Amino acid sequence: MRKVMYLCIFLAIAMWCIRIGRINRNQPEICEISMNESFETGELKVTPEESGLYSLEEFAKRFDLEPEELEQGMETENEQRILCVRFEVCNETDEDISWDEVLNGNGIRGFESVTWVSMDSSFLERNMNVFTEDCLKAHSSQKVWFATQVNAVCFKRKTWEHLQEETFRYVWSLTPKKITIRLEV
Amino acid sequence: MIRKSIRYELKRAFESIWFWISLLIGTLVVLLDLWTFYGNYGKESDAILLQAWIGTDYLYAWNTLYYVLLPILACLPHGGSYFQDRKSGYDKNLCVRISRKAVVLSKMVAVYVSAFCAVTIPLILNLFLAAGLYPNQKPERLTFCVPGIIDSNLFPVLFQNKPVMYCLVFILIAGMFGGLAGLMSVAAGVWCRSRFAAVLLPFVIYILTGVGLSTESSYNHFAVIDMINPIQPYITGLKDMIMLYVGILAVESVIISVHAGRRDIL
Repeated sequence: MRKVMYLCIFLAIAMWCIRIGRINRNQPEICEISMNESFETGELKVTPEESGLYSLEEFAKRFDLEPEELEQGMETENEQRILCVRFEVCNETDEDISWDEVLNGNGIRGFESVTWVSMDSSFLERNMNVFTEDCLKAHSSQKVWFATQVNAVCFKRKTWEHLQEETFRYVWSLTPKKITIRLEV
Repeated sequence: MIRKSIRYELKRAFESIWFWISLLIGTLVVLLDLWTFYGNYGKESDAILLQAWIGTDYLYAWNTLYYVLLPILACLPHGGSYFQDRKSGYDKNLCVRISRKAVVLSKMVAVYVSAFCAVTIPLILNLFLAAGLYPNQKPERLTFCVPGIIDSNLFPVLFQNKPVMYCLVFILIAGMFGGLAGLMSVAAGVWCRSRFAAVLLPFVIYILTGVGLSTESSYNHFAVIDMINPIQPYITGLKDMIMLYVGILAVESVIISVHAGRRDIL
């Protein structure tokens, strides 16, 4: 009787292991784009052109902003840096595309490394982007910046001191396929 | 002789009804968590293993319940046996056959191992079952559907790249601290007047330190209840965890061995 019971338990475990193998057969596809490599997504052709990791002072100087202005809109209690990336976005269709669609896509975008993640900062992007039209006109292109704060409190001291060596990526979209851009900082 | 004594104590621990009761309670909690998660997300969702496993499932209260009950699950199997043996005079029978050192050492080993198993088996079972329902994929942290484990936390690279290894590491940590709670129950048996009190004292200390050591700061958090939770609500250094573990183990070992050494058993 005991032998039958042990056999049943063994068979159940074995079948569940086979099920686990089947469930993990298909892993989601991730598309990694390099800087200056174009990709198409929906109605847009996107080319990452520039990326950088700046201190607050360097960032203010790069984008002609007053450091006081930045401090008003950001959390500055801890040491901060700003990670940003610039894309050239081309509308190759015959229809205009709203800036919401260009900037937000399917809603989930942000920056990540192996041990950190952060969504776009609308405050920083407001100060970095200048749009002369009310939408992305058909067959036109626009340079668009995305940026986020990188807070020292999120990292161990050793990692923070060697932050330039971290591999950062910008996540352009998660669905239907994850598209990430490997940044060069 | 010591090996025989350890084998005997282990047999007592694992054949005790309290071990199976502890395992039942733990298994019930983890199954209810998986049931709740499956009931809400079903089979067709995009949920992954890391969301479904009780250790990293922050959506429901079952994670909190399991980690609050952890010392009780650990101490129930064999934690009160030191007190019980002293009260019934059973340890006298052992001491005439083997050395006092062997009696105490085998008791400590049996309590530690049974506590370790009582805590880890339900967690491993939950992981095994969840693995057959949801795929083991890397967590997509931008969705904020998984715990926010960042560079300052423990094992952030494991969490991102090898989620199952992350789960297994925290199961090991829970087991080790469960073993520590079991030994605390043995040490508590020195002063307590009942088996119930000996089993419950580690739980009381665990909860009181969890509440008392809570601060507004996310750092330098020494409450075990938060340290061993894979959700990592506070930032803990690995050195702090190891120091705390070694410190508590040393204190317990000294209390147990000094008491056993000085006691007039025969």
